[in-house]
Amino acid sequence: MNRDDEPVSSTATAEIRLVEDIIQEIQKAKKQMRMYPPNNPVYINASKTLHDKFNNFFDLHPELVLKIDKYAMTYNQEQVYFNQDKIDNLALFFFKDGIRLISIRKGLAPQEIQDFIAILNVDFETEALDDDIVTMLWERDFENIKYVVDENFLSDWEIPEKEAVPDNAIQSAHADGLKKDKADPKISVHIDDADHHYIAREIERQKQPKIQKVITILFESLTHSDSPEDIERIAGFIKDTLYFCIEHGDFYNASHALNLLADYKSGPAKERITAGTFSVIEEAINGEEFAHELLKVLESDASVDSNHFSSYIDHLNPSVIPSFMHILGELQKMKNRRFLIDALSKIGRNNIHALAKGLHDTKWYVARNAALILGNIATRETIPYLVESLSHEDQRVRKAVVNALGATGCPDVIEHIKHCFQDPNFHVRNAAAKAMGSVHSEDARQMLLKEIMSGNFHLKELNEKKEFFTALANWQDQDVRDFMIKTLNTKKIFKKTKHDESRACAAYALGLVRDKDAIPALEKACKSSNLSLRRFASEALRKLKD
Amino acid sequence: MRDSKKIILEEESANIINCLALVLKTAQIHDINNIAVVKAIHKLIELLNIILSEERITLQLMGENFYVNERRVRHTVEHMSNFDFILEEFKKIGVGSILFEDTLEERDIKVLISAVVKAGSSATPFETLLDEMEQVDNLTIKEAIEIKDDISEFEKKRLIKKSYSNAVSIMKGVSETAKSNERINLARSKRVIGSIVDHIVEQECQSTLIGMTAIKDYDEYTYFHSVNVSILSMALGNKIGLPRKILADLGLAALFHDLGKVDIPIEVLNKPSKLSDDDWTVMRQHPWLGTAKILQFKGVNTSSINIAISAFEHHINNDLSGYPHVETAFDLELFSKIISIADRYDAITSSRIYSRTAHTPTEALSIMYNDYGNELDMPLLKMFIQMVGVYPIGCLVVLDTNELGLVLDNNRDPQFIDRPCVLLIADSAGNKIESTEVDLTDKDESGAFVRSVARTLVSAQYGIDLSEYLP
Repeated sequence: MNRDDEPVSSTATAEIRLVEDIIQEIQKAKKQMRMYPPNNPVYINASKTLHDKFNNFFDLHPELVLKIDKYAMTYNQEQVYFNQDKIDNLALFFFKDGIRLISIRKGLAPQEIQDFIAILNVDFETEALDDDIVTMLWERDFENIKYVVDENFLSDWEIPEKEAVPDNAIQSAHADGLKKDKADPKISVHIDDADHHYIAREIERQKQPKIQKVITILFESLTHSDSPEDIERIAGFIKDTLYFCIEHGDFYNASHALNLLADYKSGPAKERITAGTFSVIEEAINGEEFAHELLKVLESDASVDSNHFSSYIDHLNPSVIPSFMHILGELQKMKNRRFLIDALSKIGRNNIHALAKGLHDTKWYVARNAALILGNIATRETIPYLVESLSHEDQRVRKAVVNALGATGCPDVIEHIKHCFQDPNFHVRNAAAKAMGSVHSEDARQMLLKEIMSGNFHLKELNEKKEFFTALANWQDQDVRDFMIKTLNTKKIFKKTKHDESRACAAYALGLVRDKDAIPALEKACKSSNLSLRRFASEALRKLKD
Repeated sequence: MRDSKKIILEEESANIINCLALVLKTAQIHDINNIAVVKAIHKLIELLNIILSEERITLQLMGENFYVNERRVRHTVEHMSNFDFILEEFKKIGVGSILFEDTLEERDIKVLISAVVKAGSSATPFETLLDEMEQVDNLTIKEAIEIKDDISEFEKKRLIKKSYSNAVSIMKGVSETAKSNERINLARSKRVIGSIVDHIVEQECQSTLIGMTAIKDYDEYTYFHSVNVSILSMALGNKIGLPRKILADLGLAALFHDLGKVDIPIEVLNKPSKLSDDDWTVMRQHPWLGTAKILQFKGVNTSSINIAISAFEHHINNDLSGYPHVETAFDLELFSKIISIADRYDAITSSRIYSRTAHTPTEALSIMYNDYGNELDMPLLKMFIQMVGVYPIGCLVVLDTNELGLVLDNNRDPQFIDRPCVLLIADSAGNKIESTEVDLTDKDESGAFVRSVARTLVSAQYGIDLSEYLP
């Protein structure tokens, strides 16, 4: 570091060291605050350390003034920073945008430090920004950081110095002025309270987002455009506007624009437009870039109105499915996943094949969500795809697949669900029982009865047995009721507890079918020594007597 | 996170001035013990004591702005007349600041208000005020002092002229880039607008800047016009109390309001005679062309949206009678309303479009007020007229003494709105003289005004403009 040869007092030297120290700390904080988010302890500590350093200086002086040169910064004519590199050069960073002096004042708040460092961390070289450092400092309007800029930096041009106004011009003006007989018009304006209130309202209105106005302008212009080039250009602007809406989570205006577009396409202009005229918009809204923005918005803290989101989704087509399936795997918040699952259930209704690809995703939760979506759609067309995934290695996927199959209510699924009664996972077996119950056919009933009557059924856990009886209760015919009463009345000597659990489940199911003929049997069961049987029987009685 | 105390003070600062004005206005009509006065005093005390429980309050006048504890007070449009009232009272008596040191009682404020009322009619107002204020301990009044800035007046004017030159030069650069269909970078434009905003919020600098708008360069009219419209728009925005960041957005939108003209053939733009119907058909395309240009090169983002909308709307007119014709329900944006006023004013005072002969600024205001009242937003137009004054800065005037001069600054006292400061440039015989500043409120020994404006002239017609007299 270059220093003047003049002797300086030790106090002055200490002061210089303090300033050098602050500059070093700025550079250090710049790196740390670039790498860590504001809630990280490293970031917080960097900000605090720098704040402390400044305060040490402000104990001596109320203001730190740094003169900026191309490669150096000076304080009190002493060089406190020197760097000839082109990269990561603090002096050059300020100098290149015309800053010649920076003054930092006592009272500097931690937030000001953080905002200042954030500006220093902007990559003005690579980011296509419409701001330079001066504009950013200006916009932030720091209370305790001021700067002086060289205005000549912006342009060399000056309004040409005018030649002195010739005497004859002045004389001519003077003469005309004396000749002029017409008096100047008199205006008198009175600004009243109504004017003030009106302007105050206008200022408030100015604060509202303006994207809807842009949409109006674009469609006004579209209405008046004849040439295909103009229409194509406006289509590009509409696409950009939609992107802006999605970026800001404004699904209301996005769907508003798409509604206007639909009206336009079906209106008088339809003769002039071809299928490809607005393909740029359709491709964009159904493409990856938009999906990525959608992901960002959904994962941000911005609140998304489900109705507006749903209206927007109505404009998308099945080509969006791969991108949406992808972001479905990225979404962290359950509420957002639900949004997207509902969206895909709508969009993919006629494109099961595209949705079903999700069942083969390597992430179990994407496969599970794909099954949930197919379950929401629940058409016969989903069955072959779901069946393929019945043997998925993850039980959560298998369970969702079984549920989805059950949701179809289609007898075709009986044979497939039947096999799931033997699934190693009891959640899947429970789901299978429930799914079978959803298929309202004689075969399904027989399948459930067969399983319940099988030799090892009584060995199952109570909850699983209950699920089977509950499923069977979907059929409320005499045969089923007789079977349940018979089961309730049948006592076994061996493995009594397990058999009593089955009787308890039958009691529970009788409550569901509301068979009054079962009352005596249930009353008797209420006196059983088996707790489950007593509890389920009295529950059923309560239901029957209600 | 900002200090919540600071935020409260910031929010209440404007209220303090508003309440003070209400107390003083009421006290000028009624006795100090009148119920209406006492009620207003209680409201003021309540407001002040909340803050005084935490810190002392200094209400200071610097230039045309009030500062409470060194923070500039931003007034709302609704409170504008009360601000102006207190401003005039401070100036009339020569008050620089009032320091409220401790919790106030009714008596303290009664003494202050009575003292201000008494001082207002005294020959030595500030001395009278001080004498009266000896009765209270926790209020200190200081006299207004002329604030000397770090930079000289000469340097300040040079900087303003440089900002104006930069704006014209940058506008020219952006227009050429847009014409050749290359990507527009707004960084420099934003920066120059920032520096102009800084001048605009300082009353003295604003006057100089408005004076610069009298420049009508016909060779490069569009660039100068764009800069003039931008300055006039920001000045009006400042008048209605828009914050500086919004002023910058407005300035940028105004600067590019005519960007679409880069695609209009030069022979139409610079046609010396009146435009034909065909010419008008071409000309009427420029608002949309400007919007399209901005959207094409800047995309759709928060900063481009304001510019694109203003470019589209600035000729539509408040009654939608202009162009482009719109078919849907359409409310013009505030920026567009402001820009159309500034645009119309600058165009009428230039020998362009509306008439091939330029009008004097006074005539222009009259035309706008009387003939275009439906097309322009009337409350904003009234604000604009009040801002530029009956004789706008830069206006070439013949005085009743037959002297010739240029209006240098308006008089902000509504009573003397037609009595600006004038730079005399010719004597009563029409001989050029060393420029001298005179105040048209000056009176002779008999109490009559020394000079008054007799009539106005189109300065550009004689190649005379204020910029020549700037440093």
